[in-house]
Amino acid sequence: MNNVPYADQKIRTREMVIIIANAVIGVGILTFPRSIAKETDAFDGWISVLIGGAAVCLIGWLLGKLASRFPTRTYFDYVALIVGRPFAYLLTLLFGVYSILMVSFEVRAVGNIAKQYLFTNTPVEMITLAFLLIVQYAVAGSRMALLRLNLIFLPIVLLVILMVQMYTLRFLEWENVRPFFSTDWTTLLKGAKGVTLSMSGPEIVLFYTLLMKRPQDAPKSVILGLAIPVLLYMTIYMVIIGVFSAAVARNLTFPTIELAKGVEVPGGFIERVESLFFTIWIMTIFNTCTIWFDLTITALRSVFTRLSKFAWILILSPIIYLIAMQPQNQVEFLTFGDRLSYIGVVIAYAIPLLLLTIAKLRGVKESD
Amino acid sequence: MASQLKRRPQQTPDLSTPLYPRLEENLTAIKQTLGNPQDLIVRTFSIDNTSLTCAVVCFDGLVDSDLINDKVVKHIQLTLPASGKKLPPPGEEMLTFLLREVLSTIEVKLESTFEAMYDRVLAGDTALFVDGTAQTIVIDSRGWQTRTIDEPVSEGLVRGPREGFTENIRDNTMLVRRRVRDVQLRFDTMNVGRRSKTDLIIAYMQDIANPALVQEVKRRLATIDVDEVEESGFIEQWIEDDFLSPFPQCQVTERPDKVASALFQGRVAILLDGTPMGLIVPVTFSMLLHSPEDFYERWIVGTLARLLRYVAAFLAVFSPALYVALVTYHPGLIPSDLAFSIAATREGVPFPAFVEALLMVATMELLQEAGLRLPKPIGQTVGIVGGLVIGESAVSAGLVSPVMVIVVALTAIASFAIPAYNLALTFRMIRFVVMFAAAIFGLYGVVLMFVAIFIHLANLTSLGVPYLTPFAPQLLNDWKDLLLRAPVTFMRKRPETGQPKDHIRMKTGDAP
Amino acid sequence: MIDRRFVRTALIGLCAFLTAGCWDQLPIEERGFVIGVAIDFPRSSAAEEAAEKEAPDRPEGRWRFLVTHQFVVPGGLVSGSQQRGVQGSGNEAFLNIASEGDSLLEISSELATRSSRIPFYQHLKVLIISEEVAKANHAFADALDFFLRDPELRRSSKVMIAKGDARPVLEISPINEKLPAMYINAVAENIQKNARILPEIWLGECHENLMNEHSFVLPRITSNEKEVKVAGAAVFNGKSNRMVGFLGEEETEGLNFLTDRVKGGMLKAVLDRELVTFNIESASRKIKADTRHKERMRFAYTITCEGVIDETFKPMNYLSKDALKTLQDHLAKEIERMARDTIRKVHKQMKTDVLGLGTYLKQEHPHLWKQLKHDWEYGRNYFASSEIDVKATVYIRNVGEINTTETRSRNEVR
Repeated sequence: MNNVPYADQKIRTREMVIIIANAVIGVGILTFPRSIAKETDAFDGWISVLIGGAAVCLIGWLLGKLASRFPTRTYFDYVALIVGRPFAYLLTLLFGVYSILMVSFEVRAVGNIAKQYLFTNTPVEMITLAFLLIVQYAVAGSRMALLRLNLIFLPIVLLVILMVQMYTLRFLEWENVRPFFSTDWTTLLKGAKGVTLSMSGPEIVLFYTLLMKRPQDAPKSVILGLAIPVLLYMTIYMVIIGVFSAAVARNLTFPTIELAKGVEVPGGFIERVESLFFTIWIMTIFNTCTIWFDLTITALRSVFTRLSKFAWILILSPIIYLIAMQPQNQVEFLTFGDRLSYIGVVIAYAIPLLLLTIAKLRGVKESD
Repeated sequence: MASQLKRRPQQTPDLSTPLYPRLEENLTAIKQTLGNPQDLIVRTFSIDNTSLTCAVVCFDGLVDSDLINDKVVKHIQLTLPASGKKLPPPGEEMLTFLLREVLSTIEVKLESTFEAMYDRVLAGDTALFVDGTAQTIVIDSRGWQTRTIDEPVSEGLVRGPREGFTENIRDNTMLVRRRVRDVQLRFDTMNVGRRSKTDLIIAYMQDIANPALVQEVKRRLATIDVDEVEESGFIEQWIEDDFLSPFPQCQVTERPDKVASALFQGRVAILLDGTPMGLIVPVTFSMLLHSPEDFYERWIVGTLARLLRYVAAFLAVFSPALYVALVTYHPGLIPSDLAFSIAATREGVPFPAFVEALLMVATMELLQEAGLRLPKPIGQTVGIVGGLVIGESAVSAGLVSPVMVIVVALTAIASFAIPAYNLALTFRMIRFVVMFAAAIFGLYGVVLMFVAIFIHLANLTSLGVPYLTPFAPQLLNDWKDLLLRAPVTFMRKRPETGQPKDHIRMKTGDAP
Repeated sequence: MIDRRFVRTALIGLCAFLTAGCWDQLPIEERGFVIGVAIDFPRSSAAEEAAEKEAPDRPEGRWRFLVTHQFVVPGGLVSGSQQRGVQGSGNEAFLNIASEGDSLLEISSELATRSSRIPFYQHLKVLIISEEVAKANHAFADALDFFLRDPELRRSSKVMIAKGDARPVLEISPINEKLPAMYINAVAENIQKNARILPEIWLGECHENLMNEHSFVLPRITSNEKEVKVAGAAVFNGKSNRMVGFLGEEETEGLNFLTDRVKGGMLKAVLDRELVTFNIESASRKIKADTRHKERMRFAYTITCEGVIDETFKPMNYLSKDALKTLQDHLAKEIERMARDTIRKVHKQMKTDVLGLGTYLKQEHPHLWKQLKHDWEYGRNYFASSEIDVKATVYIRNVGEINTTETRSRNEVR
């Protein structure tokens, strides 16, 4: 029933911004302060965030450019146009594998953190399974519905994060903040590397541009969409260092959650705000997971065209679950994450940039 | 959906037979087909002092007897001879003559088949037969007892009109027409139910409503193929997009002012004879939480009331679940003093928090259901007193803790604050599901359920319109009427939810 | 269509699986809320010897701790309740259980063998450590490790050092309060009324202090049978994280002035042999440093204090500018006296920089700090060889409702 034209198929630019912001705000937001504080001293990490964020913005913009050259083609199609079908098969499959790993990682992240902060006895398998089921439910519905959920959840997430920061501001000690500008550039860049790696997400634009109302706005929407997490990361970092001091921050496993722990809502109505924070965070991870899962299905369906979406969901879910359960402890999990981000740099950044260059050189465009 | 009910074979005999020319034959056939019921009136009389006999066939109780007596029988019996007009010979010509010159009722029509005549007579019209003519004049004479126009029972307001629909569709259309005196108002009629032949009216504004929407509504209604349609609920269930969803996809209202404003928003209203409940489609989640009073009061009041209702909606669904989750899984979240006092008051309670919550909420449901069945004055008191008494006794018996009683009371009150009754019913159901989730996974379960509910809402459509508009497809213009209610002079455009054709509702936005 | 139905049924089937267990469910009344913990060294070695006999090869830690947990007994909180099902546990709303062991976690789990309720730390309000533990090598940090690492705990519990043993502090039976730990918690927050209470230090802040190398202070708590006194401070050396000594009440007040932690309190001054008391409303301080010679750095504190006269035994006209000026000077001298006492003790005796000078240098002269931070309190000990001076100014904003209480002649003999 398509009697309401706006209802379905096309995403508006503004909505794309929100989707990208949501995809990027993920597990990284909990761990990044530690990795920056390890490198830089005191307060200056915010510069690292800015640099790292700018780098991602640039890459994302270029990815958007690539996708918007082919406004109505799927990833598979335009890769095929640029480098031929066999490579397209390979690259799309690689992307599919990468996104499966992303989903597994995020799903396991939820399980781990829920286990650490919300539960003691419940096995992490059950927690992860429950989450995976809800993700499946979302992916089984319509794609547009999935993307619309981003629009609803992001404002809530942002609101809660900002509230946490506001309430913890009073614990900010200036002695942790000053001195300014005491770190040198090489350390800042090292910190920036950590930021760039933890901000994976803009590559979804490669797949979703064709759903946009105005595909030529894709690059712009990537930049705007990344601006939100970058600003958020900056403020979070500043508050964390101000409240905890860099020395402590590099010792906290999840500094952002620790920040939320310290919130005291006046009136004593809610005490352990970090549980609230955490439940809100689940929502944004959920969004990230569903987007990646949807990407996996899209990618794999372009290669193996005969299986239906539901069949794919049934096949992929056990695989994702098994992969998610692979890391045996926190350390293995974090290593998994690190390796995954390196893989991501290759598959999601390097290869598409290469494709863009080839496309430009060979003058490949939509009309071909 | 059409495949849900199989086609039933035709059971009634073939009634597309033409009428007989002879009066006695017609009358006999009528009496035989209808089984000669007591309320069938067959009054024969003669025209003039000729030997021509006429007969009037109608159902006692359905017809306005004064009309028949005065305007039909009397005219033919007395006035016609007095006027000295010449009667043409029996046949169609004569009937036309009667129609034009003699009968002084407004609605008259010529019919020539039994089927058509039965349709009209059973609806409350009167059939006038003249001997020698194989046609009949059907006169609209509907005048049965209807309920007076009263305050709508399920949607009372403090400020607002106190007129509600009745079971008579004519009254209802009157109420709507009085509010929409525009030439573009359309009332398209349909007949639903093969044997109940209930009148149904589709109301919309021709120049505002999206034609595709109207088309779709008509298409779905046309697929209805059952014997009888008793209430608009049946229509609602037939035309809704997803019958498995607990959420209502049509808005049900008894208020003509609601219908009128909906029409001006470009939506379509469905009125059914025999029930005061009208349907409005399409509907979104936020519309179900709006009340006309938001518009009749000033904007600050309206905004606050609306925000309160959103909070109430959240509480109505999640309070018991949050209680269970916090008490059982995360007592650390509760402020220390409260946590200790809850623990203290729960000392002697034999059940775990979840069972306690389940018991209390189930009891509350029972009370609500019971309150519906009892006569009006007793029903309300039983609801309140029953709740208090049962709560108190349960607490002193040590079965439940006092905090649980408060939580349940809060939930009940919150669900009463929802303007749409069908949505409140939905919340009652979902409450249980969320409680189960809370019992299994605590706060994590509640969050997952929250997400799951939203997934469902995001996928749901009401006649093609996504249920979460304007949150989801973000129609920022509509946000003036969403959580807030912007001052009247700001709301210059129509809500885009229904994709109306005409966007401007106010010429200028300047206040006087 | 079929696919969707199958998927849905499969999902529903899986959900049935989930109801198999609610592992973490624990009714609230079965949790043992721990609101206070006291950590001591054991007085007798009986338990240790017993454990040694039982398992001579078991792993041992550096220290043995005697930990007292204060549990809330919720039933005792609700006095005279209408519930018939409640077993009246007398008037006691709390229960102290002491236990010994090498590790806090071991002690905590040992409690499960003795108490019907499992310790639940999410509402922990106060953590009291005995001075002996604070003075021992690394014992303080070890004791805190469990509380910092376990995710169940919050970083906002207050940490205090007890003069003497920590256990008696929790074992007081306050008259009007039901829960000693909550009472202690509330007392520690009264800094608006008294400048001798060191503002509360949270567990999280303790972690920060332990991690960086600045010396720090913690509030001191003393107790007798029925009540506690939170006044004074325990001074810790930044590098070794060991306690080096206590500061008395007045010294703590001086410290608060010097470190800008005063939120209220009172000052006494003697004017013509009569007492005048001043109610502090706010105070602030500034530091100026002369760092030209590292060996003899000079620091000058400027303390500003505002308040009102709340009580006085000297009859005079308070509404005159001169009178107020004299008074302000006397009060300022009083602040300087207290501050100098503190400085003498901290600077010369303890040689520990809890005055915040190191932090000041780090912020204002970061390059200098980088050079000498290893010699600040140790090595060449530039801190000890520096000079510190204090200057105070007091502003009296108001003298209250009355001018004098009674009229006395000038020559009246006291």
